[in-house]
Formats: sequence, C-alpha cells, structure tokens
Amino acid sequence: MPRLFDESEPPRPPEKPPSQPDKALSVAQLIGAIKGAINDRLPGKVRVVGEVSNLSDRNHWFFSLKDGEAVIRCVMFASAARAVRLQVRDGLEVVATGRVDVFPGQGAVQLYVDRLEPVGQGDLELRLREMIEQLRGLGYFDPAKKKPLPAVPTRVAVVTSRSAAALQDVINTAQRRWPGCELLHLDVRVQGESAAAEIAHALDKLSDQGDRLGIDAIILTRGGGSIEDLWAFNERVVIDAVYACRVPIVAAVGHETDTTVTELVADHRCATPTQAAMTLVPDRALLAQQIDQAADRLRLALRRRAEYERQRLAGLSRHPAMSRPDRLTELPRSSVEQLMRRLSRALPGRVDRDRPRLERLADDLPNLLRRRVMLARLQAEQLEKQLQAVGPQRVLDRGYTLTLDGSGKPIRSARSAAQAGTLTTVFSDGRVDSRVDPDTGSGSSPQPPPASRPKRKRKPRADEGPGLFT
Amino acid sequence: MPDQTTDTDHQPTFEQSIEQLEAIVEQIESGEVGLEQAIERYEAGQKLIQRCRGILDKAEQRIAELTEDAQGNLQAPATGDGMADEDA
Repeated sequence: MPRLFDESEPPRPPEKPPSQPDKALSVAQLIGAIKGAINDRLPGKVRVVGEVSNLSDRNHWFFSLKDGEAVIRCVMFASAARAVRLQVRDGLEVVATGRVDVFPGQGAVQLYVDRLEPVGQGDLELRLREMIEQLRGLGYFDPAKKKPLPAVPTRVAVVTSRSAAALQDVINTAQRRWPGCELLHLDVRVQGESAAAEIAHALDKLSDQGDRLGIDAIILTRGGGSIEDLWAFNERVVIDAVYACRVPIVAAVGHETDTTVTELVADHRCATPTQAAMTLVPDRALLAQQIDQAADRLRLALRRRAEYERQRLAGLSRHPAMSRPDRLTELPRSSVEQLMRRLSRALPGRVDRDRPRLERLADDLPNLLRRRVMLARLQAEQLEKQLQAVGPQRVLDRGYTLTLDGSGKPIRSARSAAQAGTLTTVFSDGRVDSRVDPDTGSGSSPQPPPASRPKRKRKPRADEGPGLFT
Repeated sequence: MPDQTTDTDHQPTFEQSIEQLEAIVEQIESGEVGLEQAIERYEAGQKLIQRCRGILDKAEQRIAELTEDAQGNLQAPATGDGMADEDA
C-alpha cells in the first residue's frame, strides 16, 4: 500500500535554477522543467488528505482538495471514478491517492486521483490491523483450531466465481495431479456489494451439508485484485463463516503479497489457486507409490511371518522330543536302571540279614516233609478201613447178591431187569449170567446169550472195589 | 432422499484403507494373530489394495456445479452415481 507523502520533506526548489537567468525559456520549457522537478522529487504515488470542494462529477471528475492553508486541483478520470464507492460531495473529508503532475494547458499542478477513500473508515489497512488484533484475541487464528486437511480427498468443493481464472487454475491443476478427485463448483460473486454475503452463505451450506455430499475439503479462492476487490474476504461475515465451517478450508485469495483475514482464519493458506489445488489434490503417482509400498509391506509381513513360523516349526522338529522320540524313554529308563542297581545292591544285604532264618528253614524242611507224609499215610489207612467196613464185598460175604445188566450197571428194579435181557448176578464167590424171559417178563430159564454176549462178560469185576455203587 | 449422493459412507476412503492396511501389517508382523488369521488378514489387505488402486484409476476428472434448491439443499446433479458404479 502506498505510503502517505512524507511532509517532513517538502519539495525543495531545484538546487540549481536554470543556468543563466538572462537566457529566456519558452513556457513549454518551463513546464517541462517543472514536470521534471516533480518527477524527480516526488514519489510516483502520494496520498493526500483534504476536503472536497468545487466538485464536478460529470463523466470525469474535477474538484479541489483543500485544507486550512492550501488547495490543489484534482482530476479523476471516469474509469477510476466509477470504482468510487462513497458518496462524494463538497465538504467531505477524503483521502485521495494519485500522482502529481502538471497540466500544461492550464499551467497547473494537479493531483491525478486513482482512488478516493473516506477519512476515518478510509484507511483499510488500519481497519484490517484492528480487526486482526480483535480476532486474534478471540482465538480465530489459533493453530489448535485449524482442521487437518484430508490427505486424499475424493470430493472438493471450489467456492469462487464461475468466470474467475482461479476456477480454471484449480481445475487444470487437479486434472494434472489426480483426475479421480472430484470437484464441485459453487458459484459465488467474489467482489462487489453482495460478494461477502454470498461467500458466507455458501460456506454455511457446505458446513451443514458437506457430510451428506461427501465433501472432504473446500477451496475458497479468487485471483488477484486491488484491496477493494479483495475486501469481501476481510468482511466479518465471511471470516465467521470460514471460522465456523466444519469442512476444512484452503484459502487462496489474491496474489501472494495480498493477505486477507479469510486466509488467516482458514485451515490452510495458499498463495494462489493453483497452489491450493496442489495442496489438496494429491499427486496420483505419489498415491500409487504409497499403495505399492503398502502392498510390499503386506507381502513382506506375511512372508516374514511365514518364515518365522517355519523356523519355529523347524526348531520344534529338531527338538529331541520330535527328532529322537526314543529318547523320550531315556529318563524313565535310566531311573529304572538306577532302581535296579539299588535293588541289586540292597538284595545281598537283605539276604545276609535273612540267611540264618533261611538256613533254619532249610534244616527244618526234610523233617517237616517226613512228618507230613507219615500223617498222610495214617490218614489213608484209616480211610481204607472205613471203606472196607461199608464196601460191597462185605455185603456179599453176608449172603446178598448184586445184579448187573449187560453193561455192568447195577440193576435196582424188576422192571429194569426185564428190559435188560441179560443179567449178571454177583455172589461173594463168583458170578452167574442169566437171561430174562421176555414172555413172562420175569427171570426163568436161562437162554443162550447172543453170540456177542459172552464177549461182554466181565470176569475181573470182583476186585473192582470202588465205584460199585456209583 | 438426502442419501442420493453419499456413497463415501459405505466404503472406506483411500486414507482409511491405507490406515487399515497399516494395522493389518502390524497385526501380521507382531504375531498377535495366529498364522491362519494372518493369512486371512493378508487377503483382506489385498482387497484393500485393490480398492485403493480402483480409486486411483478413476481417470475422468469430474466437475459438477453445486446448486441450491428451493429447500436450501445443495444439489450436485451429475454426481452420486458415477463413483458408486466405478467402485471395484
């Protein structure tokens, strides 16, 4: 911003007046000299505070700026006059910015005004500084309040004017970096009376509905311009909307040298629209690299894991338990052997201790056996006597007989005898065979036995003691 | 009706996919999951990678105009179908 003309250094007359006073100059030469002196001594732009008078505002504006002591003619061409936003009238105190020059046609030193601002609220820079201080106090610039930008946004809203070159810059840059990132343009005016309200409204909507629309980030931008052109981005309504917006905002307003409060409050500030797009839209090649790396890491992780498990497995299979299962029995076996050794050491001692008893037992054994045999013999003789007392021989001796059938079984009834056919009667002194008469059913005259019968006669029956009555 | 343009909710975003991949790699490397599970995780990771590549390979730059309807809702006429369709 051009500085106010420094009045502490008033324009001095040229150090050397035109060389010889006696040499006459033409008027044009004089004016030319004055022009030169002004150009040499004054900055290209001055800012002058004064009161407007004699205003003529048809097409080009002509007026005077005056203060208590002096007056200067001012000219404002139509192109500049159209941009003036205040109601200029005589008596209004203003700050005029422009260059000083001589108008040869009138021989007048004039101020050619580019810009007119009201005094008091005219100093935008001062207002800006005041606002920034106030907002700083409110924490609007707090880094902790800044939202992180998405690393890979899929949808970005671009808030700017449809006709702005800035929009095209953003589109071109996004296209170049990663066409997959979708841009949604929201058309707003970026300068003029309604710009601030439109921008604020757009940001409010995006804040509310960004989620629903899947919008990851906002680019708020416009190209370069005068500070008045950019002024909407210094309006409180826009600043508040930027501050409150829930979707992260990248702001790039004007040229790099221009700073608007919007950019200070935004989550990220970029110098130009192109830079804003570069900041938000990731480079496809880099993303591809990131994926490749992730894929590599994934593969490597599994391979490493598999290798680890393989080694674990190998370690286990080398373990004696797996490689030499026979050794599994080593411990028990050795303990068995140890036990056996202990046993064999213990046994002799035990035998020694028990030897006398053993020898006594050995001495006693034959006597014991002999006594046992004698006892058994006595018992046997006793039994024999008892047997003889009740034996069949004794019965026969007393005159009874025993009748046997053909197979030598005792016959105990007449009916059995009738069926037997052949009978053997045992007497105490011998046997007699007889035949049963089948007609009478009772024994009568003996009949000759069948040819086989005699063979079945059993002679030595008499001495068969035991088993007779069984 | 308000869902017609939200297709980013269902699928993880590129960033989320990358984050999930990191977590998977971590799990596999640290041995906090068994080998069978590690293999399953690996396969899930491969799917994420494919998905990320699918996102990246969208070649067409989409520029839509956001407009506000009578109810004050922002509308993006040309969006909402394309991205969902292209999801691999």
